[in-house]
Amino acid sequence: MTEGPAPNHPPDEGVTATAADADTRRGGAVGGDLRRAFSPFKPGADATRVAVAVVGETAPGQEVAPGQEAGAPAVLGTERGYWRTAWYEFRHDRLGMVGLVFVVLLILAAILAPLIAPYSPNYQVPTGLTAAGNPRPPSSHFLLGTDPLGRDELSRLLFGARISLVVGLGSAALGGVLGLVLGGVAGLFGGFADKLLMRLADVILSFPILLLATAVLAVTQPGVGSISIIIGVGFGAYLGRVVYTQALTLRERDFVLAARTAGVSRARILARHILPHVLPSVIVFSTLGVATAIQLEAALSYVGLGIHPPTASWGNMIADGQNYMTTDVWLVLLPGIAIIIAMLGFSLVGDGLRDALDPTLERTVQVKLGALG
Amino acid sequence: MPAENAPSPLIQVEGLAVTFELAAHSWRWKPQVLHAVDGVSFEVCRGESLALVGESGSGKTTTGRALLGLYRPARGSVRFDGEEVSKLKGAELKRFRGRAQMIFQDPYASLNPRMKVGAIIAEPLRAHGAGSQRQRRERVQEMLRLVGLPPDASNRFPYAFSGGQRQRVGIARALALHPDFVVADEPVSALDVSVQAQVLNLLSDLREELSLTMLFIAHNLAVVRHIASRVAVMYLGQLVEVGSRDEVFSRPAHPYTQALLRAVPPPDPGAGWSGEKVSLRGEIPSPVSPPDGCRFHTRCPYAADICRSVVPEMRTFASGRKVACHFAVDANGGEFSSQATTPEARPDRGAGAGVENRAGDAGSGIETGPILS
Amino acid sequence: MTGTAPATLPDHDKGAALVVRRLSTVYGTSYGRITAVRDVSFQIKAGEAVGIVGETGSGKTAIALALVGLLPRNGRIVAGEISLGGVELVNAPKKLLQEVRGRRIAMVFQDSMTSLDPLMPIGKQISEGMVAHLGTSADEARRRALELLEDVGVPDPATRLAQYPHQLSGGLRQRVAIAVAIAANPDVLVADEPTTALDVTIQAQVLDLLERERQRRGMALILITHDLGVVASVTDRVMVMYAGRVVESGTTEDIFRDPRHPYTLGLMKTMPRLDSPLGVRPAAIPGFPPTGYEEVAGCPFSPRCEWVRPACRAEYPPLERVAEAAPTHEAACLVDVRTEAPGDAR
Repeated sequence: MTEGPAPNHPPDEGVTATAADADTRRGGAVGGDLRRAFSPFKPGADATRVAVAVVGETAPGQEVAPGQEAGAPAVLGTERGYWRTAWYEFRHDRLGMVGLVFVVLLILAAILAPLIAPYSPNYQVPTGLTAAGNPRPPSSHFLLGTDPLGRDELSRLLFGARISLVVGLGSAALGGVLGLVLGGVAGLFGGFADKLLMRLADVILSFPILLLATAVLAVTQPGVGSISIIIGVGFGAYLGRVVYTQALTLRERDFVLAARTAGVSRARILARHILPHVLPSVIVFSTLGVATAIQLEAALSYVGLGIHPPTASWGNMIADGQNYMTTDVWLVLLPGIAIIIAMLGFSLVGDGLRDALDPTLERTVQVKLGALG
Repeated sequence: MPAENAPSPLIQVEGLAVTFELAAHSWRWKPQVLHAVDGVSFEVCRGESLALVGESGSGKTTTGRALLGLYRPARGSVRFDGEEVSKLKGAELKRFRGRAQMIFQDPYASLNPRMKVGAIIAEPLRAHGAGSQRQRRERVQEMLRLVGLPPDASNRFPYAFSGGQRQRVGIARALALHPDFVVADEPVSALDVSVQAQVLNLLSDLREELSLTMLFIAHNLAVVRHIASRVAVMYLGQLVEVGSRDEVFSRPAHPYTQALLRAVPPPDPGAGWSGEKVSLRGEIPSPVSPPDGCRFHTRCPYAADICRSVVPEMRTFASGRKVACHFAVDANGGEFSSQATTPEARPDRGAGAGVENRAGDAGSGIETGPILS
Repeated sequence: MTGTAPATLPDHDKGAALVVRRLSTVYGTSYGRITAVRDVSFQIKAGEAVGIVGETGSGKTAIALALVGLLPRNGRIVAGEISLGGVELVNAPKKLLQEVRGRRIAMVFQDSMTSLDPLMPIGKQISEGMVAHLGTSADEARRRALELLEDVGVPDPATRLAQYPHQLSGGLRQRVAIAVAIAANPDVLVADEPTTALDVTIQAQVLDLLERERQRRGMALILITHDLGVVASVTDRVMVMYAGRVVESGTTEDIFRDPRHPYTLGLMKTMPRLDSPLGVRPAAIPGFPPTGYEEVAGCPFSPRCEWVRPACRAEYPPLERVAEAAPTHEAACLVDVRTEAPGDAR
């Protein structure tokens, strides 16, 4: 006997109307509470095969309804797809939602920066420095104080968010696409492409990304574009390896074999059978990659290899403020907090997605259910 | 049976060998070669259902997949309707893919969890550009009816179904193109015994209705009893016995076939069956380095000196049954049609002692006793 | 039994090794609440072999997990008592449960690949229980592990001690899992589908091993399976489960010779067997088993039953003795399947 499938659906939607419907719904409400209480479907549980949750061989709504032929198998009625199920899961992930709020706020701040920033980020406000020439602490004029050149700190933080987000999202997107293509091609076609691409990835991965960036940026014109590309390429090499391994396993799965036996073309196997199973992990890794990219950009800008003054970046803001750390601590603290919030936001969303998208699909869509026996 | 009127073979397998290279260990120059299938010859006639039986590691699944052209033979040939499968290309290969299909063992692994059942069943149709989208949808409905699933099943994802129902989906997919030939690879061994009968009956009905030619792979002889017209028994990459169902079940000639039959526990507490009395010693040896002589000699209760050194030839009995054992004699008293060695050395143990044929005990009008002299 | 029982365990009555009274368990899932086991009672005597037979979803595994206190996090016992040699296990403190598990009751799972620790040499996995439960010294435990491997028929045990589960075949792994389970000489061994993943030939070996060790150690064996054929020659008694309930129980002889519940009859007919007339197709039970989500009024088998009558849908029939001559043979069915024809009351 093998594990049965378990519908992992919210009780409130998508049940066919059978005689058992009313019962299922009522039971569902209880189940919802129980689920939260016992939290059976937490990740990290490959061990689910032995002991975790469990529904039987068949699905709910299976009680034969009047008028239905007894011999005809009744099945659970639901048409909810993978992405809707994933969104349902994500919505119920508190930390993930907190992260999402952070991310949304950050994006709003970046987009609306020209509208909400009290000053232009590079404008040295005439009243921006004290008589002694020191930065001003937070006040009603300068909500978060000013920097050593008399520029408004809040405005610079808001504009800095644009840099961080563009680099973060840009490099993650580039890395994601690169990884998908590299890994997919190598994994599917094997042979020469496989060896060449994977060795290339190994070479890139063998250098610490900071070192690589330092070397490249030392000879090129640093800017948002070049930084994004460098981080994106490094990330793509990493993700390529992940996708490659997954594609290799997927290639041997029975449903792919079934498609081959049916004469399905290679392109379609890639599109319908491989990609949908690789995509979730690419999305998860890319989201987590945004956080890493934001951190890397800040680090590069801090050491002077990234965004150059006067353009505001959280990294060079910390560099600018570090001489004043003892007297005007907010100059270091505020961009630091911004970096932490951004990284935390994307990390939490990434973790939430990892649970919700669960690339193996064992948890979200098909809970392994041996325990009912 | 149509096969008896016109026994023309649809599949001809001659000296088929399939090998796999194992990952080379760093200290070995040459990669180890696993001989999964090692010199197998048989035919599957039009409209017949041939059961291929053996333990895991016997090479039965590999044989089945090689028949579908999923593995390239290292030696020998597989001909489908007269054409060499491994040489098919392009349009011809595609046509072959449409005519030969597969049903998988694990109904949880063989259905893409991200596709709706309707799309899964329609996939082979799509791949072969069969019909318009509406016609395909109609065909899906027809297939669902055929396998006993409700019409609305097509809008659901596989996880909504029980193991038995999923297996029906797998059957519908395999038969959607009305293939001539189907390889059913242990289609019921992952299902509850109570559901096995349903699926087996469905398969044999469909086989008759659609005049399918079938290769039915199983490890349990009891399962194939009602669905096979002929039985081929495989051990460690080679065939050891091939014969009509009635003959193989009532008068198993090869000690391995006898052991397989005895291993099935009878549903009768008074039968005096015990694992100890009937079980084969040990397990199937590694196909990387199969034993010399008769491959079965390490576990055979009758093994004699000749078995350890001389490979037994496949001999054909008068009835057409073939057996590869030095000591097998034709119970019908007929002559071997090949000039094979009659046993010179009797087995050193009292042959036959304690090896009563259990199938015979069960009183089904079967001759008792092994055919060992 | 070797070694002395830990002080926390009172002396127990060897007469009834295990008593289960009115046990009910539920699983919470995001789709609803599943009642896996409904009001199940049974007793197992020391050294007895009992089969629990049922389909996926019948609750047979849930019973096993409840017995060894290993219900998953979303599962719990909502009613009933489990008494193992006089020790009450439901709601027992964790520490007591840990002592009981392995020492008094142990379990063998279907999938030995996941029940064995992939990162621990098998010798260590076997001796672990002895060190923990019996206070055996490491050297002694190693020696005993070697003996155990020999007992369970693992060839070349000395080499195997240092190997990891993935280096063994499925059959050998299941033997090792049995060795791990019996290492601390439990009173009761629960084997949940121990042979389902194995070839028939290896199944015969493993059944033989379970039977041999049971007799040698005088332990009780609970053999859980979906295949009636497996229990026929191995167990003394059989319980047939359907939808979380025991629908029929009795001696193996009674169940096979004189099945009284339509479901048991159906199982008998669907079994693939070698002695049925060739060419006659096996009968199949129509329909599919219930899921446990719904509260079925009346007999849960009624939607699939050929003998069904209106009364069956009204009330769940109690488990009652079916014959004067067979004191332990009970079935939960209103119909007498021997005298009434299927479809009579339709």
